[in-house]
Formats: sequence, C-alpha cells, structure tokens
Amino acid sequence: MSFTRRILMAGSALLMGIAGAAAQAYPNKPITMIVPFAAGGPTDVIARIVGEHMSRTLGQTVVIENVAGAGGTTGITRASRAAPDGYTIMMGHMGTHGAAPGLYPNLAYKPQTDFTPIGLAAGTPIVIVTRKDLPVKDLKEFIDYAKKNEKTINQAHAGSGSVSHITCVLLNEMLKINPTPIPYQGTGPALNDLVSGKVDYMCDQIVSVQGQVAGGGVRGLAIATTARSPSLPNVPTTMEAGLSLFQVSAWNAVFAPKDIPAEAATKLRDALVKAVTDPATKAKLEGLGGVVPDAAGASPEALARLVRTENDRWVPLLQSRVKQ
Amino acid sequence: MELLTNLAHGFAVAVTPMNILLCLIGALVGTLIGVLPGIGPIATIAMLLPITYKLDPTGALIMLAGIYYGAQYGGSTTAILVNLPGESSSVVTAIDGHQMAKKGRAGTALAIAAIGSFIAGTFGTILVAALGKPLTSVAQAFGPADYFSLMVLGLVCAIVLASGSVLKAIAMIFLGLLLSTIGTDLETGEQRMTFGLLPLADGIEFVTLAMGMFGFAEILRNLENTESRDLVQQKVTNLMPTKADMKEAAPAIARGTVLGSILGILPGGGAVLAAFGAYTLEKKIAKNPQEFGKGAIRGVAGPESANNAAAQTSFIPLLTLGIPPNAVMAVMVGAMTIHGIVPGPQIMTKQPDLFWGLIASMWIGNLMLVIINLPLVGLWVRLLRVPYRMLFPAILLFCAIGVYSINNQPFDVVLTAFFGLTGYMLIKLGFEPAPMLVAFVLGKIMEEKLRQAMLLSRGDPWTFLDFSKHPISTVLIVVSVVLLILAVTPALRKKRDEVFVED
Amino acid sequence: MIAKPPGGRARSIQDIVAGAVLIGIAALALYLVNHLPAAGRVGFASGTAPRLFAYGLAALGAWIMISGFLKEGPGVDSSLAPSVAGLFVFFIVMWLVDQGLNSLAKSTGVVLFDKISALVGFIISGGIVAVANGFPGKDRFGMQGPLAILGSVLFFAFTVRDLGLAVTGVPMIVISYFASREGSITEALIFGAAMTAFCCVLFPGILGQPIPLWPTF
Repeated sequence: MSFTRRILMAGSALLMGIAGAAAQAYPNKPITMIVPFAAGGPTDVIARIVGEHMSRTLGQTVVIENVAGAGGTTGITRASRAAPDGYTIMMGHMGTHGAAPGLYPNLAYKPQTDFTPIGLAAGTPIVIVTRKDLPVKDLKEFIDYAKKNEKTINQAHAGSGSVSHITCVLLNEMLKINPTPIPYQGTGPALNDLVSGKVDYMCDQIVSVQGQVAGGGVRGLAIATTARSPSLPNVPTTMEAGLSLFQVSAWNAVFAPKDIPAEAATKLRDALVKAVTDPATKAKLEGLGGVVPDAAGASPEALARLVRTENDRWVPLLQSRVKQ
Repeated sequence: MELLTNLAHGFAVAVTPMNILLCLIGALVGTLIGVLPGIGPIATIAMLLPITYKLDPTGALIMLAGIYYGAQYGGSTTAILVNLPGESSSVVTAIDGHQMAKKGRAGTALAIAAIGSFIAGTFGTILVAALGKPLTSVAQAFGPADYFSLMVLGLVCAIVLASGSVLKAIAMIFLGLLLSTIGTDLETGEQRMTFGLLPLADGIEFVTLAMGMFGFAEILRNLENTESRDLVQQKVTNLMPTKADMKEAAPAIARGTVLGSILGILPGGGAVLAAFGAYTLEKKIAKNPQEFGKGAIRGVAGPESANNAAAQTSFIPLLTLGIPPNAVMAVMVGAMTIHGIVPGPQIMTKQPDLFWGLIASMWIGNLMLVIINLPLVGLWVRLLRVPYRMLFPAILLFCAIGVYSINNQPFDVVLTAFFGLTGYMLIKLGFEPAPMLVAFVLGKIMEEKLRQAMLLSRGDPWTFLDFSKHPISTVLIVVSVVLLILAVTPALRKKRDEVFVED
Repeated sequence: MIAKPPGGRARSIQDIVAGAVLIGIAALALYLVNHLPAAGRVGFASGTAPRLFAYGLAALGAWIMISGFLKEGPGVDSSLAPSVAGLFVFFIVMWLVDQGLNSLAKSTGVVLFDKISALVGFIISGGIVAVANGFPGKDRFGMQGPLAILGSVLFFAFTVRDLGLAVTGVPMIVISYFASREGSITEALIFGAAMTAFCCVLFPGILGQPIPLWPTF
C-alpha cells in the first residue's frame, strides 16, 4: 500500500504544482452533494438549483449524487459517515432530519448531533388538495364533510414515511378525522388517482401539485403557510381558512458531516447564503412555489433550531400514530 | 386541419440545427447506454441534467427524450447478442433474439428489431399527436382494481413465455412474485425479508436480478459448454433480413405496434406489459408455436415493436396531464421544473413549442435511430467474433459498473453475483428465468394495486368482479381465467411436454 | 453426467431436487415474514402477499417433487451440488467474516477495519473455497469457473469505492480470466488494462457517472 500511496502522492504533488498555489485552499476539488431522493423530485430540483449557484461562488463544481432509499435515510446515513473534509455535503430534508427518528427506530444517525448545519435552502409548503368533484368549496366544508363521511372518505399518500404521508397524519390528528389512507408508490401515481377522482384528498408539496391545481385537475383547499404563495394566488392560507396551527413546509437544508474544518463550514455557508439571496436563483425557487429564507433564516444557527423544533413536533406524533 | 398546423409548428421547432443536434446527441447517448448492460436511462439522464441547464427547455427535453427512446433501441442489441436484457422490456427479446444469434442470424434479429421499432415509433408518435388528449381519458378510466386485473392477465400471459414445463413456469412466476415483495411495506413501512440489510430496504433492483439471472448465469453455462457459445461466433450468415423474413415479420410488427400503443397509454404499469403481451399474442396465434423460444423472428419483431410503440405513447400522461408514468419521466419532469415549467394539464396550451416540438422531434429521433442502428448491425455482429475468453470478462466489467451506478451501491453488485449463482442453479434444475423476471416486475405493481383496491372497497374481494363499478376489471379477469384454462389444459400440456422431450 | 435412476424405477432426479429447492426457498420466506401480520383491517396486511406467494411456491415445489418420483426425466450434473453448495458457503463465510470484523471495529473504534473488512473476508473465504477445490492445478468439484466469475465481480464490489475504477479494473479482469483457463496471464493483464482505460473514459468521463476513479485513503 505504502508504495502505491507514495506514487500517488508524488503524482498529486505534481498536479498541484501545475495548478499553482491557489489549489491549496478549500475547495480544491469538486464537492459532492448527496441528495437522498431520486433525481427529478422536489428536493433534487432544489439541490440542483442551489448547487449550481454554489459552484460559481466556490469555484468548484458541486456534483449532485442521488442516493435514494428508505425515506431518504439511506443517503443521509452514508453522507453522515463520509470523511469530514467539507467535500461531501448533503441536502437534508424535513423527513430525514425532522421526522425520521419517529419513523425508524434503528436510525443510524442523530439529526441534532451528528451533523454540521450549513443552512436552509428552501422550503416547499404543503397544500391540501381534493378531487375536483368533491362537494366542498373550502376547508371548513371539507372538515364537515370528512367528519360526516368518515367511513367512506379516502386519503392518498405517496408511501409510508413520505412527506405526503406524515403531513396528512398531522392534519388528520388536528382535525380529529379518521380517513382510510391509501398508499401509492410515489407522488405521481397518487396524484393520478386524485385527478381521476378515485381518491378524495391528499396533502403534498406545492411544487408537485401546483400544475394540477392551476390546470383544474384537482382543487387546492389551503396552503399551510402564513402568506399566500405567488404561484397559487387563489389558494387561501390555513390561517385564512381557520386552521392556523397547520403550518407545514417540506424544508430542504444543507448539512455536512460532524466536525468539518471551520474554514470549509464558513465557505459553504457563505456560498449557500449567496445562492439563496441571488435574485435569479430566488426567482427560480419561488417559481416552484418554494419559500426562500433570508440571510438570517439561512444561517446555521437557525437551521439547528429548526431541526430541534421539528424533532419535537414530529417524533412524538409519529411514534404514537404511525407505528401500529 | 388543426393537427397539421400544429405538427407543422412542431417540425419548425424541432428542425432548427440546434434541436436536430440535441436530438442526435440524445439518440446516440441513448443507444450507447442501451447497449451497455446495467446502466440505464435514469442514472444517465440524472447525470446529464447539469448539461441541460444552459439549454432552452424544449431543447433539453428533446435531448432527454432521445436518451429515453434511444435506450429502447440499444437495449435489444445486448439482449440479442449476449442474452443480457438491460430493461424489463428486453427480457422477451432475449428469448428468441439470442436463439437467432446462436443460429448465426444475429444480424437479421438486430435489423428486424430496428425496423420494427421505427415503424412502431412512427405510429406511436402519430397517435400521441392526433389523439393524445382523448386517449388520456381512457387512461384515467383505469383504477387500482383494473390495474390489478390487468396484472393478473399479464401473469397468465407470462406462463406462455416458457418453452418448457408449464408447471415449472408457474413455479418461477411465484418465485418472481415472492422476490418482488422484498423491501419496505408501502402501507406500514415494515421491513419484509430484508435480513436487516439497509440496501434491501427499497427492494431488489430489476437490473440486479436480470443481470444475475440472465447475464451471469449465461456466462457460467457457456464456460462449461463450449459448443453452444461457439455457435454464436462461427456461423454468421447474412446481416440483413431477406424478403421472406420481412414477410414473416410484417404482421407481427403491425400487431405489436397496435398492442404496444394501447398499453403504453396506461400510466400504472401498462408499458411493462407491452413487450411480452405481444410475445404471448404472437405465440398464441402462430401456426408453429413450437418454434418460439428457438429463434422465431416473430418473437423478436412483435415485442420490439410493442416496446417502442409503448415508449412513445407513454409520453401521453406526461404531456397531457403532467403526471410522469415512470421513473425516467419523473426525471424529465424534474428537468422541466428546473427550467421553470410546471408540469400540469396546461402544458399543451401554455407551452405549444415544447409540446409539439417534442412530438415532432420524437419522429425525427426515431428516424435517426434507425439510420444509426442499421449500419451498426455489421459492427455488432463483428463484435461476436471476439474470442469468448475476452468477451465475458468485458461483459462482467460492464455489468459490474452498470449495476454499481444504479444507486452507487457496491451491495447491488454483490447481489448480482448472488443471483448469478442462483440463476445458474435454477437453469440446471430445468427452470427458465424469463417468467420469473416478468412476474417480478408485475408483482410490485400488482400488490400495490391489489391493496389499494382492497382499501378502497373496504375489504371486499369481489370488487374486481363488480361489473357495475369496475367493468374493465371484470372483463380482464374473465379473459385471464379463460386464458389460464387454455394454458394448463391437459391437451396443451401434453403438446408442450412433447416439445420438451425433443430437446 | 446423468444420475441414473436406481433400481430401474422411473423418476426424475432433476424434478425432485428442483421441488426440494423451491420448498426450501418458500420455507425461508415464511420464516422471514413470521413476525408480520398475516391479515389486516381489509384482509390484506404487510405479511399477506409474501405468505400467499410462499405457500403457492411450496405447493408447486411439492407437486414438481411428486411428479419427479412418478415420471422419467433428466438427472442433474454431478458437479452441480458441490459447486453450488461450496459457493453459497463462500457467500456465508464472507458475510460472517465481514460481520465479525465489523463488530470488532465497533468495539475497538478502529475505523480502518470497517473499510477493509469486506475485502479481508472475501480473500479468506475465496481462498478457502479455491484451495478446497484443488487450486492451483486441479479443479476437483468443477468450481473454478463459477468461483472466478463470482470472485471477480465480488472483488470489484468490495474495492471500487475505496480503490477506484482505475485500480480495481485490471485485477478484476485477471481474476475472471481464470474462469476459462484459456489465454495467458500476459494477455489478461494487457486486455485488463485496455478495458479499464476504456471504462475510465466512458463511465465517469462521457456518461458523467459518479464512480470513483482513483484510490481515496
């Protein structure tokens, strides 16, 4: 081994010599950002938009690596075990860092202590959507309808542990309704059956449903934020609709493994803040219906706080409601 | 003639030099990854997404779509030459395609696959353009109960895939179904048969199973009996199909195209049925069904056409509803969103350039693919003359890299080796892997749909036969039962056993 | 080699073994889903489908087995049983060594073990099976082909993450060359180097796959 290593070191020293002194400082090689979900999904899209801008600030490409599986925990487990050198970072998520401890008893990482928080990237609020011919006009009528028809109402979700599953668990708990949950293999098939009227309602991220709401395929009852979204101006907030406590957003945030060098953490944070405050990037994210934090909201401290409050909210709820 | 105006508009968008170039790049990359075993369009499109950031959305989608249907062309090449189906749709192509290759007719098989795919692609594209919108409502009529019954029909068809014992084919179907239940339960999140292994939590990848059971097992078998592998190498006759071949294949291409176009529209798993539904159809109506499994040209032409027709019509749910029917299209939806286009029912009216441009480019892409692939046939066939002692290590390396790249997970490679050994054992015991792979693919959809239908009906198992609520399901179940009786009647079984003994 | 039915009674050894294998797989599956509920609220629960399929598989296995006793049919290769059994042992030994080294790594906190444990397990178990088979020179149970094929693929799996494609490719091709017992080691080295170089350009390069190219220590 030592012989190979010496040759390699000699080789890399040669390369560095060619690249010049600048190559010494972080970052001097591409950075891998692990996205714990499949390519094309909301988290992946946000990671790619943010990562592309971060590459420009850092002077090194941020390469997206999709490691999907087990509600995102496969990818985060791998990322948490990566070398803490700042060259492997990850796009954590409401599920992987907020709800996972309540869903997976043998979770291999601790969201609050095993990571260096870098900052919040963007959140995509949850929208409550129903099939277009459900005889309700607003959230109030929906609650009445759901209570009256408890035996027949069906709620779709994108599989156990998915955002659409756990957010609707919270909603049903708040409304004290007890629908029959129908599991689907992902958001696409669930939405398909909602559009064709085979199920009655579901909760999902605005980015996944806004096209259908705008196009009239489904009806948007309420968006779980304090202010209306510019992407869906006609959908009232849960505040307006009288369910002000239902404030849920599938947030996405950049984390690094525990104990990365301070220089790397600072540079990553600066690059992230620059990315989310850049007008073009911000506009892109908002076009998806995303809520983009300001510089303070994107700070590591704010993220650490968010992880704590989200753990407090989800873990007890899911431990009592989801495990059967 | 609104359609003609729209199509003219689409061609105006698609034939700009830039978009032609992107379409060509997509078709070439697609062919490449289709030919390479293991690596599939999802991993490739995901990694090529950054390149599209600088393009306009129409150009980006033209390129990504090219990769998708290009991979369908390329996938049959590996299936025919080295018996390695890289996608579920190529499993049936491998059955007769590889037998044709063993008879020295690899060139004919490859050429007929390309020609059939082109004809089917053309028809599929026209269908998307002309009837995309009304066909969407057909797709929407299918609910969970109907999909379940469709999958049951599919399983009955899978029995026909086997050329040996019916009993063993049914056993393989059950094994495939059993393997498909490995992983996290969709409803409760419980781990099923995962041995506590994290990489198994999302179930077994199709490619892992297919590479092992077909690819590795085939290599193991070839290494111990040198005669059969030399067959592939020594007798290479004509490259292009003869007039007689074309006459034989033409009706199969037509039937495959129609069947594939219809099944492709169904987003809940219709497309996976296309290829072997066509195979079953060909075998059932053939005058000489005993030739299937031994290199029947119709067994290549039908499924390949069905497969490519379905690849085109499966764009219908994406384009008219904005709902991706499979994982590859989900990545394409991601590409749209990155470019600020929100997928939904309004794409057709709000993004006419994208909608019609993409459709026009699909036909151009198919034309390019047939032009690329026909001359390549000679090259591929020459590749078979590489000595086997060099060919198989190369296949192993490509497979290993390809399987690794699905999830960037070494465990998948270990699993492939394990299935290689299992497949070798099963073949030695007289089982055929094709029905198992088909059942594996259908099993995942079938259990999901079954449980949805049961939940929706509140536990009423007769819901599948309730004509007033689920007429489609009822009809499909009745057809399945009739077919099943036909497939296992003693008379038929006797005929089969005779064929089996001849071997 | 066809095993002859003893005593002239009509039977098919192949079908009997095949049936037994299916019953074995079904039994394993039933054991693994034992903790899952067999029926739920609407009839179907997480354990229903696996149980149904396993029962079906066991029933078909029994049927195949019985028909094997009743009719005449082919036997099985005499080398199949020892080679398949030996290679499954290979997998199990490898897994055990890996588990042992992993728990050692956990208790001692030495992370290095974690990285190389799979490789060590692989070399030990592969070595045991190869020597038992009569390597070098002899091929006692006809295991050399399968062993070289599976060994080369497993070697790739265990080393590609840490050593990178450029380093892993050549030994992998060389190991697989032992399967055919044709061609020389020089040819294997040259061909391996050429193929590795080609794949290094193709996969991380042209297709942009995030596969590691060089060792990371």
